[in-house]
Amino acid sequence: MSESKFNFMLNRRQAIALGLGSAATVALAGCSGGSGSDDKAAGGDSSEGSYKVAMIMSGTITDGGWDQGHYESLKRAIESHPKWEMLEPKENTPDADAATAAQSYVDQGVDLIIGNGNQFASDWAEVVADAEGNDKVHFLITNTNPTSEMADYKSLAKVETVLPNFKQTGALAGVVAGLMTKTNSIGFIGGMKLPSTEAKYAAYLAAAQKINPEIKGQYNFEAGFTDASLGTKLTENWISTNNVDVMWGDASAVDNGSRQALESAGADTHFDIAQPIDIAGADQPTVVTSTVTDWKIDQAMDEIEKGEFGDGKVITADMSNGGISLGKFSDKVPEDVQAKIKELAEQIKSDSFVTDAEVEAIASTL
Amino acid sequence: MDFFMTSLPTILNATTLSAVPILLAALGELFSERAGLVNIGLEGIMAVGAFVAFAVGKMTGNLWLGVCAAIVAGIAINMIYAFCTVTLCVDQVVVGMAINILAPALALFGYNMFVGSNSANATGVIMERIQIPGLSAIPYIGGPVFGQQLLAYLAFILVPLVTYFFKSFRGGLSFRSVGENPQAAETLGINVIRIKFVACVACGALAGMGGAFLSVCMTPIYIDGIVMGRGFIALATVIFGRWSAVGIMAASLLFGFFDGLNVALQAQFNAAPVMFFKMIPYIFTIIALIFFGSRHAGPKANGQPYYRESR
Repeated sequence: MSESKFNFMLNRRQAIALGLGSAATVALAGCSGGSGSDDKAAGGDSSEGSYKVAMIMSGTITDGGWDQGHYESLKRAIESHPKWEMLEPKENTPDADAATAAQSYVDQGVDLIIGNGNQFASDWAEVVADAEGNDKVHFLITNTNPTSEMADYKSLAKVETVLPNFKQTGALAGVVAGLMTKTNSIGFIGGMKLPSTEAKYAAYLAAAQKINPEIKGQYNFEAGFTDASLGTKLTENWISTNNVDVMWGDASAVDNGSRQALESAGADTHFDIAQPIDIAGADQPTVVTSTVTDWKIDQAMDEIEKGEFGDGKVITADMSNGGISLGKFSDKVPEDVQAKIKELAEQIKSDSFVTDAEVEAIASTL
Repeated sequence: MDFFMTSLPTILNATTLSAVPILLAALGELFSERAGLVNIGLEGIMAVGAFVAFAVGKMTGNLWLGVCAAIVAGIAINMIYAFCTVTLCVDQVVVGMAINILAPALALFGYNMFVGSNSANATGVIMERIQIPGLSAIPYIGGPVFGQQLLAYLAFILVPLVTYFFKSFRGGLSFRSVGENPQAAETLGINVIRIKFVACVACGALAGMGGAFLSVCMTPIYIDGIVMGRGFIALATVIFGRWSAVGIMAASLLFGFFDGLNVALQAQFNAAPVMFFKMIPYIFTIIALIFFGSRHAGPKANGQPYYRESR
């Protein structure tokens, strides 16, 4: 057999093999975006709903953090709004596909498209501009300040954003940490150095130091959101070198790793405050409570039903409207400490516990 | 100095923890490259191994079953590579890249099927650490070095076994012959195709095991992107380790040390630019490749397709 003929035959095989491989990859990538769950049933029969809502996220609805928190907010909103039907959330959406995903929901006649996080603010500018003449569609982007992050939008007529009260979230966690720490050393891991991350940590430390001025804080704002082992290693280091005994995390999967290190160090003496969903329970031995964020999707739905949605308004999620709250306590939090936390939570709600100046004093050092 | 001494246990623990998955995958790559197959698909195989170990471990409650399933899954994925590169003689780099795209997508698809909207399935458990009596009591280094999971100990036990295999076993010599000159090996009666397939089995098994370490020893979860470039680091480790198991172990530990140092620096210098510390292990990898990356040191027929009929 001559080499040239041999190579020709192999090239044809190569083409088939690579073609099949590529097709399989594309098919799987497409399939992997869905959860395979029965989400559509959450809103009842599609014929009963007169409004449709869809959510687009960069992670998954079971990430134990950011996207799961959004998904659970959406489920709560659907339960209280029978006219609304939830389409299956679009998971694992990279930035490059975010606009296409949103456009596909616009084409399907979805009433409310939710983007989980400020990255969608930059991804959706064109889709929002193209949808300006479409009376049906509305866009809700979370964790976004429209003034600073959507300045390039031609119109915000069909857009609203949600911003949690970071000071309240951080202060709630700080009160719990301040009352639970025995070593006066607390830690915080953030996924990305964003103004919101720094604001949360500043309020967290300010509130803890209000309980006990001796408390010291350790932090890392750039741990990312996926490397759980980094969370383990960072927390192990803080435990061994700084005696950290209470952690609060804002980094999704990385928080899992942190909890693992706390458990290894002793779940009766080392505690975690989870966020943004309530995960305290027997399967989370270190979690003493959670700071819970509800993204007020219900409020956006109400506004759409009344025709009041849009114009770049900011929905603030705070303690007064149930946007920020503390989850259930584990039995590791003594009754008297629980009572004290509830008392101080009322002061945080009325903005009389930590002042802006106290928070700013810490923020300026970061 | 004070910082170093107080951080030493953490650095050593992180060194071992970070080194093991790289060591396992790199040992797999050693088998592959010794038989003339450069497999850059380690990253993808590790992703599948991590998912399968997590899912099977969670379903059965037996993490060792999870590890075994990860080995089988790693072999299965690597058979795609073997078929394309050995049977079809497709370019090894192209197939490796295809594996790196296909395998994580498979793992993510499987994860979405397994977990769905049931968040209870999203978290598993990790293996217990085993303290070696006496040794684990040594100050500073005892706990971090001699208090690891059994899979970590197995990884290090593999090093002398692999060395012994390549140096003293007839099979090991056959691997080396195939990697150096497959045509000559064939004339000596060595079944080159079979050796290459066996190499792919070993590579898939060890890379799958390396992936399993990530989800059953390091963290109790699976997440898309969990491998985080460790497959590529393993490739560099093989070159840095000069295609020897002992060299690979040393390179893995060195990478692990720099990773541990990066974490210790991040933990202790809060206000410093964290991204600079994060670069340390990768800067080390690049420097190592500059000094040790000569392709002349590796098996001569590495990366070249083998046509049985050609001379």
